[in-house]
Amino acid sequence: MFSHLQIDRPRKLVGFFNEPVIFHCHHYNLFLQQTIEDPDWIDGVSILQISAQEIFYSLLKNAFVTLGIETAAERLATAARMFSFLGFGQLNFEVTEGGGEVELANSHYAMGWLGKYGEQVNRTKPIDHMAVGYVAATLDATFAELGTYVAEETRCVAVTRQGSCRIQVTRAPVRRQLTPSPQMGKLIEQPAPLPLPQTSVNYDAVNEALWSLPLEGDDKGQIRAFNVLLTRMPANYYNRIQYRFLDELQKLDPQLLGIGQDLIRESGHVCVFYTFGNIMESLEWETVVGPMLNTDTDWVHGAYAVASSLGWGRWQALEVISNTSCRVAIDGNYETSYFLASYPSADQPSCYFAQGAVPAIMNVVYNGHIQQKPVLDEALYHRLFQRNGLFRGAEVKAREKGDPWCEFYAQ
Amino acid sequence: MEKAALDSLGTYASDLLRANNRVCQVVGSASEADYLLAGSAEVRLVIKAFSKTPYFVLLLTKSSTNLKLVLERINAILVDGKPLLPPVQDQAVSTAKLLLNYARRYAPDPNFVTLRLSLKTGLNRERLEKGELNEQEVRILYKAVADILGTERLPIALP
Repeated sequence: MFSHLQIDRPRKLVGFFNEPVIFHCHHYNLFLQQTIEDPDWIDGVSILQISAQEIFYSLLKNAFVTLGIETAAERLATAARMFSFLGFGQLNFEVTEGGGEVELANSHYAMGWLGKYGEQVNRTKPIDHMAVGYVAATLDATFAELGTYVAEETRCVAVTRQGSCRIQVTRAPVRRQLTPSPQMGKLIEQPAPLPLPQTSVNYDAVNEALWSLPLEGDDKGQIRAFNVLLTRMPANYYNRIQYRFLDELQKLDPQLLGIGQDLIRESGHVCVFYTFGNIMESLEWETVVGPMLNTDTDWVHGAYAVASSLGWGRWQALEVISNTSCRVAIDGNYETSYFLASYPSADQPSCYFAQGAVPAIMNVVYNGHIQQKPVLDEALYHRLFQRNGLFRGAEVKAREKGDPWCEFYAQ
Repeated sequence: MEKAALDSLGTYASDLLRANNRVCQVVGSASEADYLLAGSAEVRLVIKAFSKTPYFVLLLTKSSTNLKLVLERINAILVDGKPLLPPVQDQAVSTAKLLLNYARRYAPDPNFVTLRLSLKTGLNRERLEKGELNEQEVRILYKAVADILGTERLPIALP
């Protein structure tokens, strides 16, 4: 599977059977999903499941065509292998064209939830909405067309705390009209001529080193790296659930739109805090980025260099003022590429993940004091918000509004 | 002993503690109220309040039981039990505020729990933070807090 990843070096994107794929950790995945599941007055579960079905259908269909896979057994086996490769866990299909049951072991969402929240709270509802959509998409792409199957999780480890999860899949009484993925979306034609940053960090060298890391699912279908559970997710799954959710908020209660946006920004902030914090304490960081670090502002540049290695597009700090502010360009951000392929225009800057992620890097360096290798736990994260001087961010230029690239300011 | 009898015992012990606190105020004692003893020739009731809380320990023993051992046991309960006490329902604080405080204390991601609750319930964030909710909204908030914590009941009484 690893050999099917296509790195677009100029745009710093990673494609997988014509879908942009990006790394995110379980902190991000869980917080974003929780935000969408939370409102009782929105069918968030359907947003999550249907979006997964749509995006993974496109991915699987392309994979089957590209690899020339024609038999049902081979298609199901490939879908299961791909699921594990991407870090979602292990699927065992016991299905025919009429439907059936699927076992999900070592589920990313269920295991991640138990690890992050399991000691503190109980869960009463299943959590594997993305896997439910993936299973329906697999049968769609194997036997029929998009929207033919529906799936439901009937047992979930996040609830039972033992065994494995089970997903039932059946043919829908009437095929649903679903919307396939926009795939790579509206890409930038060529990289923007951004000024070279004043730093000893070589962004391209960091990118090459990280792209060569063999980050793929292990024998449990998990990507355990940097003290978090990673997934290599199609970016359009995140994009679709994020923007559909905000569309629903706008439609049903516009007064709460701002809160939904704030929580999505926070998913970006918490993601960067844990993932980047752990990366910056890792041996890989010491080996690859460490020799390039001369000043504290280099740590910020190093983090943005890592960000542009994760499939998120070309992130580049334009100016970093020690412990004061930073200005960052994202040329060809994955959120914007989707947005411009799906919506006519934006009224306001709409890269919500990046709006949370950009200040988070400043917070990791200057408020988390990452150079001292603190223990990155909930207590430290909680303390960040109790002190003065928390960095906050804003998107000051937006490609989705007609600017040539997106630009963020954190202070 | 029947549950009803235990409940009565608790109520009377509470009355005794309250009376003793007044006694202390009248005699001008600045220090904390001491152990209270009550009972008969057969049974002895030993009561001691957790300081600065409305909670207390009540031990019912035979009157022949070594009092020193009883006091040692009560002291141990006072030390070990204090961190486990549920939050006090202050009459001066609205139920909505109590629910919000409870969520901030026990829910994951405490910095964002108010935003989550606002989104979950559809209730305006400012009104939520001020605790100015009507009875039906308080019930909605109660359910949302319980849901976030994965439980059906919270140790906070609804109005």
